[in-house]
Amino acid sequence: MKRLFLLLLVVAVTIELQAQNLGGGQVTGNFQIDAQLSRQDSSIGAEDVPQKLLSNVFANLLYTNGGFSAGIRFESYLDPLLGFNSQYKGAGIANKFMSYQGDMFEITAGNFYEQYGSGLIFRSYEDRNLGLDNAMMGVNVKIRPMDGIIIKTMVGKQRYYWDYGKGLVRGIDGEFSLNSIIKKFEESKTRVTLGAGFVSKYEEDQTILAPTDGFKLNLPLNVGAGSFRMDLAHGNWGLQAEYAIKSQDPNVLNNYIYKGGNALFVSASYSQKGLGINLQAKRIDNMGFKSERSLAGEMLYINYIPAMSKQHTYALMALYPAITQVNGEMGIQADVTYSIKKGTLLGGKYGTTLKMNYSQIMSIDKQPLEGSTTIGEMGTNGYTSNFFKVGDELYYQDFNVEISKKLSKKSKLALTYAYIAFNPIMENEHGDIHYNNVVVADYTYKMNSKNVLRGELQWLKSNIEYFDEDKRSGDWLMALVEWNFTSAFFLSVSDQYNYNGSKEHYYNVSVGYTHNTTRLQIGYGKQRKGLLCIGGVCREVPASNGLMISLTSSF
Amino acid sequence: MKRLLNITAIIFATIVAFAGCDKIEEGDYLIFAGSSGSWYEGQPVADHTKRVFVEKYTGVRCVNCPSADVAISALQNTYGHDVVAVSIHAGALARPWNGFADLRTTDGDEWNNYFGIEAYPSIMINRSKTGNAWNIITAVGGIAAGVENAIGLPADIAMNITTEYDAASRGVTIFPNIEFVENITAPLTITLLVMEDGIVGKQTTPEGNDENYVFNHVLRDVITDLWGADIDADGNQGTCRMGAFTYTLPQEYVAENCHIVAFISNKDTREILQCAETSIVE
Repeated sequence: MKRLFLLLLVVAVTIELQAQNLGGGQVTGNFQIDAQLSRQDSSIGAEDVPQKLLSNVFANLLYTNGGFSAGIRFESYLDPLLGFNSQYKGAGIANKFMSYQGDMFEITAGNFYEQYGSGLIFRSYEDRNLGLDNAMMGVNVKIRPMDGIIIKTMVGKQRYYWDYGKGLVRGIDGEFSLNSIIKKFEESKTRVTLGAGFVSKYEEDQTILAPTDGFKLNLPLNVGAGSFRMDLAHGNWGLQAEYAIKSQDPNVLNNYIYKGGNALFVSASYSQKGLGINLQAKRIDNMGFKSERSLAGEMLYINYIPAMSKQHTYALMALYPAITQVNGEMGIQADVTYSIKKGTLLGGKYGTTLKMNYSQIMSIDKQPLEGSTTIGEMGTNGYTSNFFKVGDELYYQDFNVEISKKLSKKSKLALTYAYIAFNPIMENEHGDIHYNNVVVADYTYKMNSKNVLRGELQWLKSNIEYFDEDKRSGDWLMALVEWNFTSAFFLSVSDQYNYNGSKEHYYNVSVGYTHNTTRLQIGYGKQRKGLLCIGGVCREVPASNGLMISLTSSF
Repeated sequence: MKRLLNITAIIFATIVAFAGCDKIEEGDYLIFAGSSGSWYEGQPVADHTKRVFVEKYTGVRCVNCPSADVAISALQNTYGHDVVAVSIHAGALARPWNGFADLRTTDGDEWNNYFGIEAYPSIMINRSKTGNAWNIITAVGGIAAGVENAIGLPADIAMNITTEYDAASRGVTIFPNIEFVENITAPLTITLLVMEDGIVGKQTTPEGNDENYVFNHVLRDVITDLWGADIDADGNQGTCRMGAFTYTLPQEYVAENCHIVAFISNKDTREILQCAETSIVE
């Protein structure tokens, strides 16, 4: 234990550096060290950790000189934190690239991240909280032949832990701003951008035995996906839409059916002072697109389906997150923010902000093929689907409203209510839909310029009685007190209590220190088994009981 | 504007070039997979020798290929059944002569393309690799050295193979019997081939075209899937498993000249760990 603190101290001191000049260029970087000590706790299902100490470490180093840049990222998982895939175990340079940006083009060789449109056909990204990194290894070229046009093209393979996926991914994308290209639209108040992209995956043949004895699937080795999109803005109004299709792609996600996929994403917005409205709708049908057809899990996705529900930050509201259903879902979301002016009856002395959000995600219509009674039978077209018809099954529903108000010069209060319906089928589990009512009160009191006290009270009432297989089930209470003092330190104490269920307390104590760009946080407590979801993509977090240390810094 | 049109044209041309997504017609979703066999408790294998699989890519119009036949034949004379040879007729130089048999197979073509064979003869020994590159011998003089490097190594898995043949129906049942000499965690597959000896045809040789050339070890068919059938075993040392695969010998093959070759390979790397050969008719 002493050695661990010594190590952290040495690292913290060492990285107290400023950006360094080197050969006329500049070197910048950042570090992140997360370490965990967890012990067995059968009451919450925390398993023994024979290694005692687990750690994930990231270190980025970036050199820039004019248009040239090069960088590496060191990663170490010795051994990976609980909940991170054991295939990450190891240490080394996980990411390396060099790039040159000229007037009209930019070329990157090595690892790169890229996205076409909203990601329906291609998104390469990293989210280390999810343990997800599908960085491309290859070449990415961006060309700007004239104002208003950007062409991107790339080829490469996707990162798969310390290796690369078997599939070869190629893509091209073009985005055209009509206001820049067509002179007479230059001054137009209506801004129009159009885009189109195409991504193709090649994967060698493999033997996937069909349900019929002695037969195997005749697999398409090249699978393509294309999309068209537009972005319209006029004054306070905005409209974005993207439609994507995917060719035959029998894979483990769709039970090896030959039906093509399609996806539609539409978002409309209106904003003016004190009011913001955003409406979204999407329909996804068989759009799981991976560079390895027989790989389940979250790795090697070529595309990304944008989430259509609020990303809750309060712990009990985030207990049952929406999980993207790549095989089919239809969703809508409405988000309204309204500020009530100061000096009015409801606004009071300092004004009041109201936020309302509603989202609902349903299954899509799926009908058996002619002459069949089964939906999604392997080695067939799977099913037929009426594009405009909503399926019968509710996956997720969330209505939440938040009122936040500054009560005085020193205090503010936010009250939030959420009604969340969660269908366990989103996690491939069976069972009744969980209907939850959640209430949160969040109070902040600024004692003086250097001391801020914040408290949260949360209550979740569920219709589902507690059962041991799902440690989230039952009713919950949570309290949190956070004290930020001297602008550099903070202390946080919290407890989640499954009062109508396992009767288990999940307490946590955290202290943190921030100095310039360096932040050290040490926490001790229990972590409930559950799901961590970001943007509809999830990672299972196992139960743990112990110490968590996090150090981040940049220079 | 003209520049814009040019750029747009280039973009769309590129998109079209990229748009090589394969379309499988509805009636073709399923194809014959080859026999996947049934697995039973096996018997210990007496011979734990690691045999060497010599895979020759050849063609009837390949002038240097007969010299490879000579080299391989000499090695078989030296090492006997420890060298298992297969001749795969594939590529441009395997185009058949008018009036003579076509010795190519679709399976052979697929392997030829997969391994990136471009010169003939090309010889692979146990489908071994250096790094990510297949070890492909194109100089006839290198065949002996390749075999000598591979022979006599300890075997992680042992195999013998027997067949039962019913002349009336031309049905063959093949029984590969395997024993795990060491623990093997990698997934394994077994691939069964039909080979035929004594096929007379026309072959280009350094002396000219020989219309009475005798082709031996010619790949006729792959009984299992091209990349093999999964071996139903736990991979633990001492485990013995016996498979049973059925096959009907086509009329055009001379049963007395046909052999069954079996090889066990690592499903992920494709490298061959063991092989064996037996005739169909005793």
